[in-house]
Amino acid sequence: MEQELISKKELLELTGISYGQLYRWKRKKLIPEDWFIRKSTFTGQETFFRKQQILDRINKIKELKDDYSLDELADLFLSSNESSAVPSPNPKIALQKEELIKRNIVSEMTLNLYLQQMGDRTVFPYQQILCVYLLETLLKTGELSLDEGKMMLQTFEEHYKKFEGKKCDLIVTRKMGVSSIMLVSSSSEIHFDNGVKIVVRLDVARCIEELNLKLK
Amino acid sequence: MQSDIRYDLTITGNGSSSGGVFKNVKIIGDAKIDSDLDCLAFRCSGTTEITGNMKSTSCHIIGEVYLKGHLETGEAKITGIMDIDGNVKTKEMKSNGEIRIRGGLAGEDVNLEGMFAIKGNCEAEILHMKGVFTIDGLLNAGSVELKTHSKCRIKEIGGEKIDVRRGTGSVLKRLLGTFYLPSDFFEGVLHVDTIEGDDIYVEHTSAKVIRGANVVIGPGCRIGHVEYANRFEKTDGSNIGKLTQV
Repeated sequence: MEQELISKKELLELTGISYGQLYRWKRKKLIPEDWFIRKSTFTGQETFFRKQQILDRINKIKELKDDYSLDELADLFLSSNESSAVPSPNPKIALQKEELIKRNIVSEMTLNLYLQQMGDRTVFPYQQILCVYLLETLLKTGELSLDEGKMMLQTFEEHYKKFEGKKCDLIVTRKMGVSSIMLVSSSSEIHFDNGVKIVVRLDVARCIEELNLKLK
Repeated sequence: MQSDIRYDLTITGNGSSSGGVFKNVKIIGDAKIDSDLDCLAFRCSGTTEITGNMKSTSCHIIGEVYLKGHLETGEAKITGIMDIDGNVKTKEMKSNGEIRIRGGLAGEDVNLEGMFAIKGNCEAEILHMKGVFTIDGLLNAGSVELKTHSKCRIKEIGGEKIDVRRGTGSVLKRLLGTFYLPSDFFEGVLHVDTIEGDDIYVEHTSAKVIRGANVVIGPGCRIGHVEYANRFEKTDGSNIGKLTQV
């Protein structure tokens, strides 16, 4: 898929960062080397980037750089840098029920909903943590009602395994008050008829990144 | 690793080792190491040839070292020749000799004087270079200070603060130079394709493009295109093809 390119100069204008910052981030491996695409133009060689990819990354760095050191960010991004690989879910981590609340990963309400739906349990392996975390994110933004949340839990638990090693998005749609939840692979395009409203499209890979940060 | 104990390795005269894990490695004379070398302190006053990679916490070279693999070291002090086929990763590096790296160089505080050729990219937080140098990749550093002697060539420079000046050399050399050396011997010039940074000062430089926030062009420059955001200054006697403010 051919993506829109953006030159280095336009990028700096658009994002308001300076050359120095860009080079520092590159040095710290926040922006991987192979994102810099060299092309010859009439003024000589110029550097280009894939627009969406680089803008996402820079916005993310700007957002997180006050809270984390550049080295920490580099570690975080490293896993997602390997082209289109999923940020490594950390299957070794399992947390106690109480710890999820204590570490501010999910609220008590969300957790209770989960327990009610999926049965009581005390230990949460990584995939379940991710599942509650997604639920929390969706409920907190008010995009999902409690009933829809239950539906989402079931969908996710049942089908997420099938996306092993691939990026996927979680999509919530509503039509005439009836909602449905679907999991699709990130690169796929989907189109609906006019009556369908896409409530939210959540990038699961991105949530994994956020979650990994919180779990650290 | 079978044991945690590291032993010293000393080679005086002519000798060879099959490499391995050591505490201190001291080489006085001629040595050949036939595999990877992992040590704490490495000292060489002679000639060493290493066919593998080298890892050390400190590395002093007063002589010649030829390394076929990569070098990873905490601190490096070189007063001699270092010839490396792979990449170099270091925290602190100081050199007064000749360095040839066919891979890239990554460091934090890098201070180089003398002659060096780097085939790959060169990255550092603080970089001081003085002498004759060729870098075929990108020079990327937080603060770059270059003092050029003779003909220097860098493909690209990027960073926050970039300062390029002509090196002066010692008074004695200059006096001798007027009598014995060709008249343009000390005329340091830098050829570079692009320079991009926040604060840029250049002199005696020919560049295709310079882009930056604050750009000051000193004497003796030939620049194809300058793009600046805030401030621009230029000394007489420099040529600039095109000037734009963005």
